[in-house]
This record gives sequence, C-alpha cells and structure tokens, in this order.
Amino acid sequence: MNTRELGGLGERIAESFLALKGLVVVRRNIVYAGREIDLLARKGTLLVAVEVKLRRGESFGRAVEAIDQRKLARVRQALEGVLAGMSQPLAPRVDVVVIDVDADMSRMTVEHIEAVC
Amino acid sequence: MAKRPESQRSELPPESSPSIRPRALELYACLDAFDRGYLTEGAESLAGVDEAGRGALAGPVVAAAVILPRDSGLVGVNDSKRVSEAQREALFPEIVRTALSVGIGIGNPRLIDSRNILNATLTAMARAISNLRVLPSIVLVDGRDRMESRIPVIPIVGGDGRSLSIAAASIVAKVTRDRLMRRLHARYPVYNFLENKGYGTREHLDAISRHGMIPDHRKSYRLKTVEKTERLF
Repeated sequence: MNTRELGGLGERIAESFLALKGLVVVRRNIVYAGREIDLLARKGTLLVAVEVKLRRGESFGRAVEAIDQRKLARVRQALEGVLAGMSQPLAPRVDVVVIDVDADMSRMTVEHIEAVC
Repeated sequence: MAKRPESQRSELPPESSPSIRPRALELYACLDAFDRGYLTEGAESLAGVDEAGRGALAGPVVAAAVILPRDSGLVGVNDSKRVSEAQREALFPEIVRTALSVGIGIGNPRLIDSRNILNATLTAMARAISNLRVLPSIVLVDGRDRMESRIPVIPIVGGDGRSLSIAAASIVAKVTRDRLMRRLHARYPVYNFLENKGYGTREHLDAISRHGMIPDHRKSYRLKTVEKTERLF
C-alpha cells in the first residue's frame, strides 16, 4: 500500500466515522488557491473542512503528533475561500480526524478533534 | 493486494495479510471513537444502553447496560440487527468478559400490560443501569427516549449502529432475551418461540388463535391485530 492508497483509506475511514456523527461529506480533496481540503462536510448550517491524518506502522498512537498548525491555517484559508464563493451563509470549522493503524493492521484507533483552528 | 514498487519508502512495514477483516476493524475504530467523543475530564466513563423485544407479542422486554474499558478491542460488535445469531452468540461472552460491568433489566409482560410498553422499556433500562456494579458518568441510550436516572442520559437515535457501547448493549440484550425465549419455548413449544422469539409472525398468530394466550403474552399489546387475524380464519 503506497502513500496515496493509505491517504485514500484514511479518508474513507474518516468519512464513515463522520457519518456516525451526522456529518455528511459533500466534497473530497478540493484544492482552493493551492490549498487543499481533504474532506468538506456539512451538518446543518455548519461547513467543516476535515484534515485527515493516517499513520501506519511503528508509530502507533502517534499520528496526533503529525498535526501541523501551519498546514491547518492553510486549510482554514481554503475553507474561507470556499465559503466566500457560496450564497448560503454557513459557519466554518476546521476539524482533524486522526487514524492510527499498527503495522499488521490488527489495531486501529480513530480520533476526532473538533474546531482546531 | 498489489505488489509494492521498489521505490516504496522503507519505513513502511512489509505487507502482511491482515489478521482481522479490515472493514470490521474500521467499523470498530469508528464506533469506539464515537463513544470517546462523549468522554471529557468530568465524564470519564460511559454506559451504553439498549433493549430487545419491544415489538414482540410475548415474552419480556430486556434491557442491557454495558460499560466498556478503553481500547476494548471488541472488533465485530455492531447493531444486533446487523449481526447474525451465531455471531451474537460468539460476541456475547466476549463482551461480558471484556466489559467493566454489565447490567440487565427485565420488564415482564405483566409490567408491560399495566404500564404500557414504552414505560416498561424505560423501567427495564433503569433497572439495567441500577444493576451495574460500577456507576458510569453518563449514559448513552438508543432511541429518542430518556429513562429516569440520576446519571445524565443522552438519547442517540440509531445509537446501536453508531456507538460501540450501545451496540454491545444491543447484543447483550438480544442474546439474553433469546435465551429467555428458548426457555419459554421449552414450556410452550406450540408457539415456536425458538424461531419467532415472541414476535408476531404468521405462525405465532396462528398458534395464538388455535391455543389461546399464555401468561407470557402481552394481553394489552396488539390484541386487536390478533383478533383481526382470528376473524380471518
């Protein structure tokens, strides 16, 4: 499984998790002015840009450390840009979904951090 | 699985056949994360609560409350309706062994007849919670209704397919009730509770019109349907 496949897997898992929380993914991997949003989800009047982090291997339980504040600030900018182009007023939020998988795929944890920036 | 290209980054571990069905593991991780979303510094443990047998014509309504530890590893647990009977039977002892505490509450047909099914269900749920040995900080209950409890109760619509603890409770309630129905079947085989579990199948309604009701039938419940069926034959 290469990095791209791993990313796709992470996004799929994040999407099924978000569904449990009533967040419906409306767009995947959108690029806005060179800034990327992994998943764009809606719940009522909330528009959430979701950054998905998946880590697999020896660093089990440490994907949360891979969150990069500067990256999140760029996600935020992209979200503001998306919102600016919408006629409907929606409340923006940036979330992170962190997925840890151990090397032999026998353990997996999902963590959802809401409103990171 | 596709062969990994030579250029694969070396820090990635070698591909091995997954030891657990990956989809089941993903579902487990998602259901588990849903529960963790309710845990805060003030609320460090939660119980999932669900019932079985609310819609049946005979037998009790059974509620279960389950408190799971962190990282329970209960892969395969899901809404009892989406899990086969054999899988439920296999998961039941695993849940009971893993759980920090399991409480069962029963509402018998007499209670259902005197207090109506909704109140009897909520009573059974409250009993399940009071039968827990450890008190949780909060309770997640499947559905829209809140039972009386000193612990904060959060109703979750479709909770048995969203929360790991509620899903575990749904399996415990279902398996426990099925066992009670098997016992009832041994006493009154003509209704075939072994198969219908007390629910209103054609065969069950047939048997009622032929042999009448037993004390375990809910006299107040869907009696009209039964009478109508009687007239049909």
